[in-house]
Amino acid sequence: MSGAPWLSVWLARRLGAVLLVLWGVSLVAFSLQIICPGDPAELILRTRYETPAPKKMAQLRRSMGLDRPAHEQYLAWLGRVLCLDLGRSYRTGEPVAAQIAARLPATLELALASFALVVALSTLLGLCAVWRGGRWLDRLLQPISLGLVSLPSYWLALLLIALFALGLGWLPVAGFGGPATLVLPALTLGLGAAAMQGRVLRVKVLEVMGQDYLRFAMAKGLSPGRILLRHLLPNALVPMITLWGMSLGSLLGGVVVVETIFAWPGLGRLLVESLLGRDLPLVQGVVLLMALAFVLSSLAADLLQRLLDPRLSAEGSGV
Amino acid sequence: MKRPLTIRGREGRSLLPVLCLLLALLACAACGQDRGAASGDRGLVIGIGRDLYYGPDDRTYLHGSTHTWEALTYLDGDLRPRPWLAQSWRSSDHGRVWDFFLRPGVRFHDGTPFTAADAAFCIDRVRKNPKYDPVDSYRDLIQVEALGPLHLRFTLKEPCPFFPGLVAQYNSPMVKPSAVDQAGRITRLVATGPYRLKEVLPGYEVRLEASPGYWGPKPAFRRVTFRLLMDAQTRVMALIAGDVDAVADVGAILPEQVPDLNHAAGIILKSREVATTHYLTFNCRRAPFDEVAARRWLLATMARQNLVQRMAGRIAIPAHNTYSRLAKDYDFGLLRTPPEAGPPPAPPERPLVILLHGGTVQRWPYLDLAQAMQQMLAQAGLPAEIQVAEAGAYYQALKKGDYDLAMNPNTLMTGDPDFFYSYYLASDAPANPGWHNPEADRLIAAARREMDPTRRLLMLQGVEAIVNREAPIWPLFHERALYAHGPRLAEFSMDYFFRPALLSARPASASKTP
Repeated sequence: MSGAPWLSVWLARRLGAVLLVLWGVSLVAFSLQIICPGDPAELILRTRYETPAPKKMAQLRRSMGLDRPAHEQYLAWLGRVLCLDLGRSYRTGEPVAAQIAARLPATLELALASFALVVALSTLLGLCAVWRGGRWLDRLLQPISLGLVSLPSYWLALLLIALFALGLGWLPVAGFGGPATLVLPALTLGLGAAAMQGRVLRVKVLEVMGQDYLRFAMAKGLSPGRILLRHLLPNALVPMITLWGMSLGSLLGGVVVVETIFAWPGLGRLLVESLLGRDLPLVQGVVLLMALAFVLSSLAADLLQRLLDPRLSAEGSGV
Repeated sequence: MKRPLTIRGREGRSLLPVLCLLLALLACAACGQDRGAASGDRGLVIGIGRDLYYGPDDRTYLHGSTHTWEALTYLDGDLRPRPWLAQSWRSSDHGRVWDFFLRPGVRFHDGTPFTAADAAFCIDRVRKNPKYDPVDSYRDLIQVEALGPLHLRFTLKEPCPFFPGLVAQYNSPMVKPSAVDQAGRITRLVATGPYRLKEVLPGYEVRLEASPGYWGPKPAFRRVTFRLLMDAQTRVMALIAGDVDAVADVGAILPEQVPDLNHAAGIILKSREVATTHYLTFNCRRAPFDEVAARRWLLATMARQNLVQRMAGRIAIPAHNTYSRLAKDYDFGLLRTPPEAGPPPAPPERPLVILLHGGTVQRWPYLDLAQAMQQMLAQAGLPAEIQVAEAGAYYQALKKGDYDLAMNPNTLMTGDPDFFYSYYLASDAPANPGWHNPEADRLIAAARREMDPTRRLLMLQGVEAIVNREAPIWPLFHERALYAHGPRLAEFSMDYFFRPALLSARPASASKTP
């Protein structure tokens, strides 16, 4: 494979698309200010249910530049963003970048832990289909995984808290800091996704198991380990990479329900808090970052898939 | 049909060790956790439902619950202004000049003395920025000046009989001027309170430590942590599990959680009347509630069905004033539910709209009340729909008059009825629901300037009597807030502004000061 030419063309096109997506996201994020009902100045001043005086609202509107035409505001904002200045939060007055940076470690920690759980568990669940003839274990795990897929995360979270925190007393109910606080939110996030992706992988594994090349490998007398690692997994896991990439993207974007239940100070909750408080610079910054995380993880997954699967690389070279 | 192949071998069996590894990791995590409750070294941990960190661009940086900053005056349990950083005050020039004499010996958290010049700077900082004085409390202030190290003078355009209450708490937070930047933002919180800020973990915890040089009594807890637990179920479960010592804040415990807490071992559930009143606002601009008779009909029918008691009984105190009855000097008790319901008003051609703020329905039983009201209206041939709107849409609908009934809370922040009247009832009030009464306007304006207490009381009673008669806004109930603490605390209470009383909180074992 003469990898470099097709890869650079493909990457250039995808990066162009990423920029286009981000520009579209910036437009959508900014237009929230215009679409959403209500006056941001009023909402900022009403943080304690006090009724702000009209004079003070007008003064704040002026000082925040909200009295300027929307396109002027957008262009000014976009210009600052291109210089990596996301502005200051309307509510706290802190730089948006600093607020995002303060929440990012929590999001990364939870996202990576959940992602590791998703990858490990979904692979295990997928392989259980063929373990020892796919009999009792597979039959046992199928309804369990279906149940996990069907459970709303809020309910699963409360069940886990009731069992591990209130019942057994092993883990804290909620909180942030240390491995103990990570377990329940990661399980809540990971179990459902792992069950769903495990079911997808199971189907793929069964499909690959029926292929002639695998029957041939077994007939050749290759060891089960060699069959698993050289023939089964590489073929079955390729489509999973896209799914995992998307999971990672959405996990990096923050998961509001789980973060709220477990008092996890991640980006998802920051976004909701800023939306409710109509803290638009913060909303715009977080939305841009989430979009960036999603498109980059999808891009990485696609790239990995193409590098692993020569058939896709060949398609890529023809593009 | 080909039969799928299976894998048999050691790789298959390796699944079990992997599962065992996962369980072992879980156990390790469990062992690694620091529950603190057993060790008793974590100080006081309070679970709350909203972020107490407001940030640099706010008048106080942190919520008043943190006891980090102090003001010139505070309101006592009867909502009367009491000395705090100001030891005494007096007015002259018919209430246009107010002199405040500061408490000697007060020091900032960094050990430097607090002076009248600092106080004047802080008042100027608050009044000049719309974010720091959203209700325009200092609209009549001409100047504030330091006449001596401990002598502060306010000069007003007009007399203000309730000025000591107006400067209470959030209107005069005292912070060190050198810790404020040119834009008025607090770069670091250096104030005079019994606690100083140790650390803010954004979106999670505000950690405080006792200030060693505090001028007043020393708190029992050296460390206090406010932990943000936004989900109501999680808050209560964290309390039961001992992860937090207390839960105390606005709407921190919901009425429906009371049975669970009553049955939880070691949990002490308490309630406290707070200065918040919950209102039913009539849209007086459009039919049917532009008519006094229609408003009185609704109130009488609601009372006949005991609607409020049925829906909010655990947290509701019947209201007989338009504002908190804690304001003892103004507790006239003149509001009476209309005795006769009379015939219902003619239905308009559209369904009525009961408008609710999405943020309030999570904290108070507004939705239950609205649903009961909807049913009651339907029985009278007045179909109604409930609209739960997010904040922006809610306030826009209120402004445009796109509602018939709305529910909202209001806390009497200055302890004076003028705070409520000026913002809800006066014709030029920003939240006026379309109700105009020249006599009420005259009385509200006159009471705002009247320095004679007796005459002022008569004026305020006059306003209450008009509201009783015309009911443009009706107080549904005064709130009794629920809070709770666990067995680690011997003494813990919350005040009328939902603030935990940190100075009087005591651990169960007095031998060790956490």
